Amino acid sequence: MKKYLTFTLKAFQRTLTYRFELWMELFINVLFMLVYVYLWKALYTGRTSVEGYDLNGILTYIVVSQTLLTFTFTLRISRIIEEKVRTGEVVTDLMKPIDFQLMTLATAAGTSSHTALFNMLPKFLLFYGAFGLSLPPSPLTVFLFFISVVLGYIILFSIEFIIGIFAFWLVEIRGLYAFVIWGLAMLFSGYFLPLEFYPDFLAKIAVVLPFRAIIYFPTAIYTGQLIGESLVTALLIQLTWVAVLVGIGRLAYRAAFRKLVIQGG
Amino acid sequence: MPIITVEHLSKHFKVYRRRTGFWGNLSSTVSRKHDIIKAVDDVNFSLERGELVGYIGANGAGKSTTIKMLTGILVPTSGHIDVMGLTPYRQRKENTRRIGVVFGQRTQLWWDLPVIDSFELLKHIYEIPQNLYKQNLEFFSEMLQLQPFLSTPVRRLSLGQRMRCDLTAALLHNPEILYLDEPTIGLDVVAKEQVRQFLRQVNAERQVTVILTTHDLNDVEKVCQRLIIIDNGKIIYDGGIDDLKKRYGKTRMLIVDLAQAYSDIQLEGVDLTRRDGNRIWLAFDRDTISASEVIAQLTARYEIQDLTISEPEIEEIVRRIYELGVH
Repeated sequence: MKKYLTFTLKAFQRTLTYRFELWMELFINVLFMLVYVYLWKALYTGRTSVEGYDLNGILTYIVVSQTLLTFTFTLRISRIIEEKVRTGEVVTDLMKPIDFQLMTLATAAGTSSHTALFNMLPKFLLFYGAFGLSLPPSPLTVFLFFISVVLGYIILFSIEFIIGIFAFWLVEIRGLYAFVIWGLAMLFSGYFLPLEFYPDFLAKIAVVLPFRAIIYFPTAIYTGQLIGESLVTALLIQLTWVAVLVGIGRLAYRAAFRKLVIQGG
Repeated sequence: MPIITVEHLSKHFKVYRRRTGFWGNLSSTVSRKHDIIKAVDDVNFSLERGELVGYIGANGAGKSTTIKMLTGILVPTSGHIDVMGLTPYRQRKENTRRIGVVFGQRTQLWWDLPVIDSFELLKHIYEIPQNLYKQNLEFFSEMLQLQPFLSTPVRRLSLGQRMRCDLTAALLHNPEILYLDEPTIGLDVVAKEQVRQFLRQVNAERQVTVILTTHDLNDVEKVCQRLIIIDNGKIIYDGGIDDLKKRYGKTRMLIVDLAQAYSDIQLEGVDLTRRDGNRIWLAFDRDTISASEVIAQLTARYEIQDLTISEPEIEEIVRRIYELGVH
């Protein structure tokens, strides 16, 4: 286990190299979040509550979900795997006594911890202070929120990992990536709107897909939308998706490995 | 007991033929015809512990395919491989713990991190005990003079510096076998010499078995005791380098600077292979005619300014083996 922790540490350290990129990313994110916040303020003029969210509730939801969204566009695991397959560097990884999926997760966790600490946290605190957002209902909810964030992160990682593994068969995975991450995940993860606002048929589709477990669940736990039994159900659904998607990722990887060792690189 | 035994090893690839044109493309998607490429074809050899072997061949001869099968990331079509008592593709992880691999064309170091960080990462990957790690790091740092750039990010190293670091990275966990795929590619003369010197020393002092694939025959000549030549998937030579020279290097080359450009040059038992102004190149077989006889003929008929005899270069010998096959 210790060797994977080293990957996390080194990846964290590596991210420090790109300070300029990080500042630019943060700057653009903050602008986007400001636009969203003002949009919702305008939409709520003359209303007190929509689908159970008052103005403060919706602003909290938007800021938390926008903050969590940062993982989605900074993860880049599919691209990293595709690059490794294209350049043949993947062979160097295979020649080490190490589990490829765990190594990739450990590395991603290092990069993302850095993002969480130096991008997401300051961003969140800034908006929290500026717009007087609310905190989760109880310390226990704060704890469960973080659990849910981590589970959501592993789900996002697993989806990106599976897409990346497709690079062993496809020359080009950008189309697949755009469809799943910029299409399906954006639509059904609940980053844009709370899923309660969705028309019935879209909400029904969202329920059977894993994407709401990435952003909507942790955010709704934070805002107190999911409490008691529904909160436990949400966590269980997340756990199930983690098991299913990590499993599919391993199977996909094994198939890719078999292809590689039979047909060559 | 040999450390590596390869018996009747073959690797065949299916290469799908693509038909051209619209209908060709369409029918290719329905039924695909394929050719069988025999990348490695019934190869046999064995290596003793501590050997230093050059594995050479033209592009596409089957060198890398063999190395990939030995390292366990390619499954043979048929035949048997035994590496340290393991079957590499079945016991891949166990095998990787005990081998080191260097690809000249790519690096296993983390691009954006100081060199020392990649070494530390490897320490954890291979679970190298701290004292062994320290000891090895000191040993290699001194031998390859890594000290000045250990804390430099890899992306800022020169190719020669990076190769020295990659060699260290492959050896930190005390592997029993070191596979090198073109380790001197792109290096300047000084850096090449440094790598060669290092390989000889590592092999002698640490009893590491080394297999080296290369295009640069100087590598082989200066580093290896034994040479395996592969062509079209088959081994066409396996033996000592001196032996190769003895068997195939009978031809000598005499380079002569004449006093003037004679229009007609007539000599017995000698081939005029090249001519450039006053300079001529004469090839002769040392078993049929001696150098002094050739020179005697020359001085009798022409006025000579200077002459040199050259030993056959190994490159020349190998080129001839590729072209003509083994006799």
